[in-house]
Amino acid sequence: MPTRDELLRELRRRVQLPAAEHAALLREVRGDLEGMVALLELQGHARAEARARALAALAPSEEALAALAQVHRPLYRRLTAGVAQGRLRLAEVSAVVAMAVLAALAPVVPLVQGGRLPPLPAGTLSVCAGLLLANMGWYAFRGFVRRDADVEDLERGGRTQAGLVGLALSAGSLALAVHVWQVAGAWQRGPGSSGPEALRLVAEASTATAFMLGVAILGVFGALALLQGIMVARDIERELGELVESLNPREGRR
Amino acid sequence: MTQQPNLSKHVNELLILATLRSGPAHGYEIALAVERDSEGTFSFQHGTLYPILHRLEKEGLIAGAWHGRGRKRRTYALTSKGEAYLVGETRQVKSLFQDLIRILEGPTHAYA
Amino acid sequence: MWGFFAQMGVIQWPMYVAAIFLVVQIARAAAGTRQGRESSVSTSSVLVWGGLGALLGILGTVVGFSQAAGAIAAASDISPPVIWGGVRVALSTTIFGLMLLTLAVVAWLALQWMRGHPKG
Repeated sequence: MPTRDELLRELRRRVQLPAAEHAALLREVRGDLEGMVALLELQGHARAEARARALAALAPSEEALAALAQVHRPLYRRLTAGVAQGRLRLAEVSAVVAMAVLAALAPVVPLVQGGRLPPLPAGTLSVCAGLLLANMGWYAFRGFVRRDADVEDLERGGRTQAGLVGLALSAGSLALAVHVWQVAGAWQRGPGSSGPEALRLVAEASTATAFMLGVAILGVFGALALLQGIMVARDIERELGELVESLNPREGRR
Repeated sequence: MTQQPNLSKHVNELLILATLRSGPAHGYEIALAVERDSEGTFSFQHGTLYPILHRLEKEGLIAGAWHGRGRKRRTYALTSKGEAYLVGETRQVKSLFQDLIRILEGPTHAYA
Repeated sequence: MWGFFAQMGVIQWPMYVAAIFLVVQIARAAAGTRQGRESSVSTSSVLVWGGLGALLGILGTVVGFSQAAGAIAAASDISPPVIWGGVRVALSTTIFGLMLLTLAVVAWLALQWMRGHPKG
Protein backbone atom coordinates (compact mmCIF):
# COMPACT_ATOMS: atom_id res chain seq x y z
CA MET A 1 0.00 0.00 0.00
CA PRO A 2 1.52 3.38 -0.93
CA THR A 3 2.69 5.53 1.97
CA ARG A 4 1.23 8.95 2.66
CA ASP A 5 4.33 10.62 1.17
CA GLU A 6 4.00 8.53 -2.00
CA LEU A 7 0.31 9.48 -2.33
CA LEU A 8 1.21 13.11 -1.78
CA ARG A 9 3.96 13.01 -4.42
CA GLU A 10 1.60 11.30 -6.87
CA LEU A 11 -1.10 13.90 -6.19
CA ARG A 12 1.35 16.80 -6.61
CA ARG A 13 2.53 15.28 -9.89
CA ARG A 14 -1.04 15.00 -11.20
CA VAL A 15 -2.40 18.25 -9.77
CA GLN A 16 -0.64 21.31 -11.08
CA LEU A 17 -2.15 23.66 -8.50
CA PRO A 18 -0.29 26.03 -6.18
CA ALA A 19 -0.05 24.35 -2.77
CA ALA A 20 -2.47 26.69 -0.97
CA GLU A 21 -5.19 26.26 -3.63
CA HIS A 22 -4.57 22.52 -3.64
CA ALA A 23 -5.09 22.26 0.11
CA ALA A 24 -8.22 24.46 -0.07
CA LEU A 25 -9.67 22.25 -2.83
CA LEU A 26 -9.08 19.04 -0.89
CA ARG A 27 -10.57 20.65 2.23
CA GLU A 28 -13.67 21.59 0.23
CA VAL A 29 -13.98 18.14 -1.35
CA ARG A 30 -13.58 16.40 2.02
CA GLY A 31 -16.24 18.66 3.59
CA ASP A 32 -18.66 18.03 0.71
CA LEU A 33 -18.02 14.27 0.77
CA GLU A 34 -18.78 14.12 4.49
CA GLY A 35 -21.90 16.28 4.03
CA MET A 36 -23.20 14.24 1.10
CA VAL A 37 -22.61 10.90 2.84
CA ALA A 38 -24.40 12.16 5.97
CA LEU A 39 -27.36 13.47 3.92
CA LEU A 40 -27.71 10.25 1.89
CA GLU A 41 -27.58 8.16 5.07
CA LEU A 42 -30.37 10.34 6.52
CA GLN A 43 -32.36 9.61 3.36
CA GLY A 44 -32.04 5.91 4.11
CA HIS A 45 -29.06 4.84 1.98
CA ALA A 46 -26.52 2.40 3.42
CA ARG A 47 -23.16 3.94 4.38
CA ALA A 48 -21.19 2.07 1.70
CA GLU A 49 -23.66 3.07 -1.02
CA ALA A 50 -23.75 6.68 0.22
CA ARG A 51 -19.94 6.86 0.20
CA ALA A 52 -19.74 5.34 -3.30
CA ARG A 53 -22.32 7.81 -4.65
CA ALA A 54 -20.58 10.73 -2.99
CA LEU A 55 -17.17 9.71 -4.39
CA ALA A 56 -18.62 9.20 -7.88
CA ALA A 57 -20.19 12.67 -7.82
CA LEU A 58 -17.52 14.69 -6.08
CA ALA A 59 -14.04 13.10 -6.25
CA PRO A 60 -12.26 15.06 -9.03
CA SER A 61 -11.23 13.12 -12.14
CA GLU A 62 -8.07 13.87 -14.15
CA GLU A 63 -10.18 16.05 -16.44
CA ALA A 64 -11.64 18.00 -13.53
CA LEU A 65 -8.16 18.43 -12.00
CA ALA A 66 -6.82 19.73 -15.32
CA ALA A 67 -9.73 22.19 -15.55
CA LEU A 68 -9.07 23.31 -11.96
CA ALA A 69 -5.38 23.85 -12.76
CA GLN A 70 -6.48 26.12 -15.64
CA VAL A 71 -8.86 28.09 -13.40
CA HIS A 72 -6.22 28.59 -10.68
CA ARG A 73 -3.24 29.15 -12.96
CA PRO A 74 -1.24 32.10 -11.51
CA LEU A 75 -1.54 35.33 -13.51
CA TYR A 76 2.18 35.26 -14.37
CA ARG A 77 1.91 31.79 -15.89
CA ARG A 78 -1.17 32.82 -17.87
CA LEU A 79 0.63 35.84 -19.28
CA THR A 80 3.76 33.83 -20.21
CA ALA A 81 1.97 30.73 -21.51
CA GLY A 82 3.03 31.40 -25.09
CA VAL A 83 6.72 31.88 -24.31
CA ALA A 84 9.23 29.04 -24.77
CA GLN A 85 10.23 27.66 -21.34
CA GLY A 86 13.99 27.88 -21.91
CA ARG A 87 13.85 31.50 -22.99
CA LEU A 88 11.47 32.35 -20.16
CA ARG A 89 13.79 30.84 -17.52
CA LEU A 90 16.74 32.73 -18.97
CA ALA A 91 14.78 35.99 -18.89
CA GLU A 92 13.62 35.35 -15.30
CA VAL A 93 17.12 34.57 -14.00
CA SER A 94 18.61 37.54 -15.89
CA ALA A 95 16.01 39.93 -14.49
CA VAL A 96 16.58 38.76 -10.90
CA VAL A 97 20.38 38.93 -11.27
CA ALA A 98 20.27 42.38 -12.91
CA MET A 99 18.05 43.78 -10.13
CA ALA A 100 20.29 42.25 -7.47
CA VAL A 101 23.46 43.68 -9.05
CA LEU A 102 21.93 47.17 -9.29
CA ALA A 103 20.66 47.02 -5.71
CA ALA A 104 24.07 45.83 -4.45
CA LEU A 105 26.07 48.46 -6.35
CA ALA A 106 23.81 51.39 -5.46
CA PRO A 107 25.17 51.97 -1.92
CA VAL A 108 28.73 50.82 -2.70
CA VAL A 109 29.68 53.07 -5.62
CA PRO A 110 29.20 56.39 -3.76
CA LEU A 111 31.14 55.03 -0.75
CA VAL A 112 34.09 53.94 -2.93
CA GLN A 113 34.07 57.16 -4.96
CA GLY A 114 34.00 59.17 -1.72
CA GLY A 115 37.08 57.30 -0.52
CA ARG A 116 35.26 55.96 2.54
CA LEU A 117 35.34 52.31 1.47
CA PRO A 118 38.47 50.63 0.05
CA PRO A 119 37.95 48.87 -3.30
CA LEU A 120 38.87 45.30 -2.21
CA PRO A 121 36.36 44.96 0.65
CA ALA A 122 33.84 47.00 -1.41
CA GLY A 123 34.07 44.64 -4.38
CA THR A 124 33.92 41.53 -2.22
CA LEU A 125 30.95 42.73 -0.20
CA SER A 126 29.15 43.91 -3.36
CA VAL A 127 29.43 40.43 -4.79
CA CYS A 128 28.16 38.88 -1.53
CA ALA A 129 25.29 41.40 -1.27
CA GLY A 130 24.38 40.75 -4.92
CA LEU A 131 24.30 36.99 -4.33
CA LEU A 132 22.17 37.42 -1.20
CA LEU A 133 19.70 39.73 -2.97
CA ALA A 134 19.58 37.41 -5.99
CA ASN A 135 18.81 34.39 -3.78
CA MET A 136 16.11 36.29 -1.84
CA GLY A 137 14.69 37.74 -5.06
CA TRP A 138 14.61 34.36 -6.82
CA TYR A 139 12.70 32.57 -4.07
CA ALA A 140 10.35 35.52 -3.55
CA PHE A 141 9.64 35.42 -7.31
CA ARG A 142 9.04 31.67 -7.25
CA GLY A 143 6.90 31.85 -4.12
CA PHE A 144 4.72 34.88 -4.91
CA VAL A 145 4.77 35.32 -8.69
CA ARG A 146 5.39 31.95 -10.32
CA ARG A 147 3.87 30.16 -7.27
CA ASP A 148 5.67 26.88 -7.88
CA ALA A 149 8.03 26.74 -4.89
CA ASP A 150 7.40 23.75 -2.60
CA VAL A 151 8.84 23.01 0.85
CA GLU A 152 12.01 21.43 -0.53
CA ASP A 153 12.69 24.40 -2.80
CA LEU A 154 12.23 26.87 0.05
CA GLU A 155 14.42 24.82 2.41
CA ARG A 156 17.15 24.77 -0.23
CA GLY A 157 16.77 28.56 -0.57
CA GLY A 158 17.02 28.97 3.20
CA ARG A 159 20.21 26.90 3.41
CA THR A 160 21.73 28.87 0.53
CA GLN A 161 20.77 32.11 2.26
CA ALA A 162 22.47 31.01 5.49
CA GLY A 163 25.54 30.00 3.52
CA LEU A 164 25.67 33.34 1.73
CA VAL A 165 25.45 35.21 5.06
CA GLY A 166 28.44 33.15 6.18
CA LEU A 167 30.21 33.95 2.92
CA ALA A 168 29.58 37.69 3.38
CA LEU A 169 31.09 37.56 6.87
CA SER A 170 34.08 35.39 6.00
CA ALA A 171 34.93 36.86 2.59
CA GLY A 172 34.22 40.41 3.83
CA SER A 173 36.49 39.91 6.84
CA LEU A 174 39.15 38.35 4.62
CA ALA A 175 39.06 41.25 2.16
CA LEU A 176 39.32 43.76 4.99
CA ALA A 177 42.19 41.87 6.63
CA VAL A 178 44.06 41.72 3.30
CA HIS A 179 43.48 45.45 2.76
CA VAL A 180 44.87 46.31 6.21
CA TRP A 181 47.77 43.91 5.63
CA GLN A 182 48.59 45.61 2.29
CA VAL A 183 48.43 49.09 3.80
CA ALA A 184 50.60 47.96 6.74
CA GLY A 185 53.10 46.57 4.24
CA ALA A 186 53.25 49.87 2.37
CA TRP A 187 53.75 51.77 5.63
CA GLN A 188 56.38 49.30 6.79
CA ARG A 189 58.42 49.72 3.60
CA GLY A 190 57.67 53.36 2.89
CA PRO A 191 58.06 56.55 4.80
CA GLY A 192 55.69 55.30 7.49
CA SER A 193 52.22 56.42 8.47
CA SER A 194 51.17 59.72 9.91
CA GLY A 195 48.49 60.10 12.52
CA PRO A 196 45.80 61.26 10.05
CA GLU A 197 46.61 58.38 7.69
CA ALA A 198 46.32 55.85 10.48
CA LEU A 199 43.02 57.36 11.50
CA ARG A 200 41.90 57.18 7.87
CA LEU A 201 42.70 53.45 7.87
CA VAL A 202 40.65 53.02 11.05
CA ALA A 203 37.75 54.92 9.43
CA GLU A 204 37.96 52.75 6.28
CA ALA A 205 38.07 49.59 8.37
CA SER A 206 35.07 50.75 10.39
CA THR A 207 33.06 51.58 7.27
CA ALA A 208 33.94 48.23 5.72
CA THR A 209 32.98 46.39 8.91
CA ALA A 210 29.71 48.30 9.16
CA PHE A 211 28.92 47.54 5.50
CA MET A 212 29.76 43.87 6.04
CA LEU A 213 27.51 43.67 9.10
CA GLY A 214 24.77 45.48 7.15
CA VAL A 215 24.99 42.93 4.35
CA ALA A 216 24.93 40.08 6.87
CA ILE A 217 21.89 41.56 8.67
CA LEU A 218 20.11 41.99 5.30
CA GLY A 219 20.87 38.34 4.63
CA VAL A 220 19.54 37.28 8.01
CA PHE A 221 16.27 39.16 7.37
CA GLY A 222 15.99 37.34 4.06
CA ALA A 223 16.64 34.04 5.83
CA LEU A 224 13.90 34.84 8.37
CA ALA A 225 11.45 35.63 5.53
CA LEU A 226 12.33 32.33 3.84
CA LEU A 227 11.94 30.54 7.17
CA GLN A 228 8.45 32.01 7.50
CA GLY A 229 7.65 30.75 3.98
CA ILE A 230 9.03 27.32 4.88
CA MET A 231 6.83 27.12 8.00
CA VAL A 232 3.71 28.09 6.01
CA ALA A 233 4.58 25.61 3.24
CA ARG A 234 5.22 22.82 5.81
CA ASP A 235 1.82 23.49 7.41
CA ILE A 236 0.15 23.25 4.00
CA GLU A 237 2.09 20.05 3.22
CA ARG A 238 1.03 18.51 6.52
CA GLU A 239 -2.59 19.45 5.88
CA LEU A 240 -2.37 18.08 2.33
CA GLY A 241 -1.01 14.82 3.74
CA GLU A 242 -3.84 14.53 6.27
CA LEU A 243 -6.44 15.36 3.62
CA VAL A 244 -4.97 12.81 1.19
CA GLU A 245 -5.07 10.14 3.90
CA SER A 246 -8.64 10.94 4.81
CA LEU A 247 -9.76 10.81 1.17
CA ASN A 248 -7.77 7.65 0.35
CA PRO A 249 -7.82 5.57 3.53
CA ARG A 250 -7.19 2.20 1.86
CA GLU A 251 -7.06 3.07 -1.84
CA GLY A 252 -3.89 2.83 -3.84
CA ARG A 253 -3.21 4.69 -7.06
CA ARG A 254 -6.21 5.75 -9.10
CA MET B 1 -23.88 35.27 -39.39
CA THR B 2 -24.33 35.49 -35.59
CA GLN B 3 -21.94 33.60 -33.28
CA GLN B 4 -23.25 30.16 -32.24
CA PRO B 5 -23.66 29.97 -28.45
CA ASN B 6 -21.70 27.25 -26.66
CA LEU B 7 -24.64 25.42 -25.06
CA SER B 8 -22.70 22.75 -23.22
CA LYS B 9 -20.53 25.33 -21.52
CA HIS B 10 -23.51 27.38 -20.45
CA VAL B 11 -25.85 24.63 -19.27
CA ASN B 12 -23.74 23.55 -16.26
CA GLU B 13 -23.09 27.15 -15.23
CA LEU B 14 -26.77 28.09 -15.48
CA LEU B 15 -27.84 25.00 -13.53
CA ILE B 16 -25.55 26.01 -10.66
CA LEU B 17 -26.62 29.67 -10.74
CA ALA B 18 -30.29 28.73 -10.85
CA THR B 19 -29.87 26.38 -7.87
CA LEU B 20 -28.21 29.13 -5.85
CA ARG B 21 -31.14 31.46 -6.51
CA SER B 22 -32.97 29.76 -3.63
CA GLY B 23 -30.11 30.54 -1.23
CA PRO B 24 -26.48 29.69 -0.33
CA ALA B 25 -25.51 26.03 -0.59
CA HIS B 26 -22.57 23.66 -0.21
CA GLY B 27 -21.12 22.05 -3.34
CA TYR B 28 -22.72 18.67 -2.61
CA GLU B 29 -26.11 20.34 -2.02
CA ILE B 30 -25.87 21.98 -5.46
CA ALA B 31 -25.02 18.61 -7.05
CA LEU B 32 -27.94 16.84 -5.32
CA ALA B 33 -30.41 19.69 -6.06
CA VAL B 34 -29.59 19.72 -9.79
CA GLU B 35 -30.04 15.96 -10.01
CA ARG B 36 -33.30 16.06 -8.02
CA ASP B 37 -34.85 19.07 -9.80
CA SER B 38 -34.03 17.71 -13.27
CA GLU B 39 -35.22 14.21 -12.22
CA GLY B 40 -31.84 12.77 -13.18
CA THR B 41 -31.56 14.47 -16.60
CA PHE B 42 -28.61 16.52 -15.43
CA SER B 43 -26.05 15.41 -12.86
CA PHE B 44 -22.50 16.33 -11.89
CA GLN B 45 -20.03 13.44 -11.78
CA HIS B 46 -16.31 13.00 -11.15
CA GLY B 47 -15.89 16.35 -9.46
CA THR B 48 -16.72 18.36 -12.60
CA LEU B 49 -18.71 20.64 -10.31
CA TYR B 50 -15.59 22.18 -8.77
CA PRO B 51 -13.87 23.75 -11.79
CA ILE B 52 -17.20 25.39 -12.70
CA LEU B 53 -17.81 26.65 -9.15
CA HIS B 54 -14.29 28.05 -8.90
CA ARG B 55 -14.51 29.71 -12.30
CA LEU B 56 -17.87 31.30 -11.48
CA GLU B 57 -16.37 32.55 -8.23
CA LYS B 58 -13.38 34.07 -10.02
CA GLU B 59 -15.75 35.81 -12.45
CA GLY B 60 -17.71 37.26 -9.52
CA LEU B 61 -20.97 35.51 -10.37
CA ILE B 62 -21.00 33.60 -7.07
CA ALA B 63 -19.26 34.21 -3.74
CA GLY B 64 -17.67 31.42 -1.72
CA ALA B 65 -17.14 31.43 2.05
CA TRP B 66 -15.89 28.99 4.69
CA HIS B 67 -18.26 28.20 7.53
CA GLY B 68 -18.27 26.23 10.71
CA ARG B 69 -15.87 25.56 13.57
CA GLY B 70 -13.07 23.04 13.44
CA ARG B 71 -13.58 21.34 10.06
CA LYS B 72 -14.87 24.22 7.94
CA ARG B 73 -17.08 23.71 4.88
CA ARG B 74 -17.44 25.91 1.85
CA THR B 75 -20.73 27.45 0.79
CA TYR B 76 -21.54 29.45 -2.30
CA ALA B 77 -24.06 32.24 -2.77
CA LEU B 78 -25.35 34.02 -5.86
CA THR B 79 -24.11 37.59 -6.27
CA SER B 80 -26.10 40.42 -7.86
CA LYS B 81 -23.80 40.17 -10.88
CA GLY B 82 -24.61 36.46 -11.05
CA GLU B 83 -28.34 37.17 -10.76
CA ALA B 84 -28.19 39.62 -13.67
CA TYR B 85 -26.10 37.18 -15.72
CA LEU B 86 -28.59 34.38 -15.03
CA VAL B 87 -31.55 36.50 -16.13
CA GLY B 88 -29.80 37.52 -19.38
CA GLU B 89 -28.56 34.02 -20.22
CA THR B 90 -31.93 32.42 -19.41
CA ARG B 91 -33.55 34.76 -21.93
CA GLN B 92 -30.94 33.83 -24.54
CA VAL B 93 -31.26 30.08 -23.95
CA LYS B 94 -35.08 30.37 -24.09
CA SER B 95 -34.88 32.17 -27.43
CA LEU B 96 -32.36 29.61 -28.72
CA PHE B 97 -34.54 26.66 -27.79
CA GLN B 98 -37.64 28.33 -29.25
CA ASP B 99 -35.81 28.68 -32.59
CA LEU B 100 -34.58 25.09 -32.35
CA ILE B 101 -38.05 23.66 -31.61
CA ARG B 102 -39.53 25.71 -34.44
CA ILE B 103 -37.05 24.15 -36.87
CA LEU B 104 -37.49 20.62 -35.47
CA GLU B 105 -41.29 20.76 -35.63
CA GLY B 106 -41.00 21.79 -39.31
CA PRO B 107 -42.63 24.57 -41.38
CA THR B 108 -46.44 24.79 -41.45
CA HIS B 109 -46.42 25.19 -45.23
CA ALA B 110 -44.99 22.83 -47.85
CA TYR B 111 -42.53 23.89 -50.54
CA ALA B 112 -43.89 23.96 -54.01
CA MET C 1 54.71 33.60 -0.87
CA TRP C 2 56.60 31.26 1.43
CA GLY C 3 57.57 34.31 3.49
CA PHE C 4 53.86 34.94 4.15
CA PHE C 5 53.46 31.46 5.65
CA ALA C 6 56.81 31.42 7.41
CA GLN C 7 55.98 34.50 9.48
CA MET C 8 52.85 32.90 10.97
CA GLY C 9 54.72 31.29 13.83
CA VAL C 10 53.87 28.07 15.62
CA ILE C 11 50.10 28.42 15.05
CA GLN C 12 50.64 27.65 11.36
CA TRP C 13 51.06 23.90 12.03
CA PRO C 14 47.57 23.20 13.42
CA MET C 15 46.22 25.47 10.66
CA TYR C 16 47.91 23.30 8.00
CA VAL C 17 46.30 20.23 9.63
CA ALA C 18 42.90 21.96 9.52
CA ALA C 19 43.51 22.89 5.85
CA ILE C 20 44.34 19.29 4.92
CA PHE C 21 41.28 17.93 6.73
CA LEU C 22 39.14 20.61 5.07
CA VAL C 23 40.30 19.72 1.56
CA VAL C 24 39.89 15.98 2.22
CA GLN C 25 36.39 16.51 3.66
CA ILE C 26 35.36 18.64 0.65
CA ALA C 27 36.55 15.91 -1.73
CA ARG C 28 34.72 13.18 0.25
CA ALA C 29 31.49 15.16 0.48
CA ALA C 30 31.62 16.02 -3.24
CA ALA C 31 32.21 12.38 -4.21
CA GLY C 32 29.40 11.24 -1.91
CA THR C 33 26.98 13.86 -3.27
CA ARG C 34 27.79 12.90 -6.86
CA GLN C 35 27.10 9.26 -6.10
CA GLY C 36 23.83 10.13 -4.36
CA ARG C 37 25.21 9.13 -0.95
CA GLU C 38 25.17 12.67 0.42
CA SER C 39 25.18 13.03 4.17
CA SER C 40 24.33 16.26 5.96
CA VAL C 41 26.95 15.38 8.60
CA SER C 42 29.74 15.15 6.03
CA THR C 43 28.61 18.39 4.37
CA SER C 44 28.39 20.23 7.69
CA SER C 45 31.82 19.02 8.78
CA VAL C 46 33.27 21.07 5.88
CA LEU C 47 32.01 24.16 7.72
CA VAL C 48 33.38 22.86 11.01
CA TRP C 49 36.92 22.52 9.63
CA GLY C 50 36.67 25.94 7.99
CA GLY C 51 35.43 27.47 11.24
CA LEU C 52 38.26 25.82 13.14
CA GLY C 53 40.76 27.29 10.68
CA ALA C 54 39.29 30.77 11.21
CA LEU C 55 39.36 30.42 14.99
CA LEU C 56 42.98 29.26 14.91
CA GLY C 57 43.78 32.24 12.70
CA ILE C 58 42.18 34.71 15.11
CA LEU C 59 43.99 33.01 18.00
CA GLY C 60 47.27 33.40 16.10
CA THR C 61 46.57 37.09 15.54
CA VAL C 62 45.78 37.75 19.19
CA VAL C 63 48.91 35.90 20.30
CA GLY C 64 50.91 37.67 17.61
CA PHE C 65 49.70 41.12 18.68
CA SER C 66 50.51 40.28 22.28
CA GLN C 67 54.02 39.08 21.41
CA ALA C 68 54.65 42.03 19.10
CA ALA C 69 53.50 44.52 21.73
CA GLY C 70 55.73 42.85 24.31
CA ALA C 71 58.77 42.86 22.00
CA ILE C 72 58.23 46.49 21.03
CA ALA C 73 57.89 47.54 24.67
CA ALA C 74 61.00 45.55 25.64
CA ALA C 75 63.06 47.09 22.84
CA SER C 76 61.56 50.52 23.49
CA ASP C 77 61.24 50.83 19.70
CA ILE C 78 57.89 52.25 18.72
CA SER C 79 58.79 53.41 15.24
CA PRO C 80 55.97 52.98 12.68
CA PRO C 81 57.85 50.42 10.50
CA VAL C 82 58.28 48.17 13.55
CA ILE C 83 54.65 48.55 14.59
CA TRP C 84 53.24 47.94 11.12
CA GLY C 85 55.58 45.05 10.62
CA GLY C 86 54.15 43.49 13.77
CA VAL C 87 50.60 44.15 12.55
CA ARG C 88 51.33 42.39 9.25
CA VAL C 89 52.81 39.36 11.00
CA ALA C 90 49.84 39.13 13.37
CA LEU C 91 47.29 39.57 10.60
CA SER C 92 48.78 36.84 8.42
CA THR C 93 47.25 34.01 10.52
CA THR C 94 43.85 35.70 10.44
CA ILE C 95 44.09 36.02 6.68
CA PHE C 96 45.00 32.34 6.29
CA GLY C 97 42.21 31.30 8.69
CA LEU C 98 39.66 33.41 6.83
CA MET C 99 40.84 31.93 3.53
CA LEU C 100 40.09 28.47 4.95
CA LEU C 101 36.67 29.59 6.21
CA THR C 102 35.78 31.27 2.89
CA LEU C 103 36.86 28.13 1.01
CA ALA C 104 34.71 26.03 3.36
CA VAL C 105 31.63 28.25 2.84
CA VAL C 106 32.05 28.30 -0.96
CA ALA C 107 32.48 24.50 -0.97
CA TRP C 108 29.38 24.08 1.24
CA LEU C 109 27.33 26.27 -1.12
CA ALA C 110 28.62 24.24 -4.08
CA LEU C 111 27.69 20.97 -2.32
CA GLN C 112 24.19 22.35 -1.61
CA TRP C 113 23.85 23.23 -5.29
CA MET C 114 25.01 19.72 -6.29
CA ARG C 115 22.38 18.21 -3.96
CA GLY C 116 19.66 20.30 -5.59
CA HIS C 117 20.82 19.51 -9.13
CA PRO C 118 21.72 15.81 -9.17
CA LYS C 119 23.39 14.42 -12.28
CA GLY C 120 21.15 12.57 -14.74
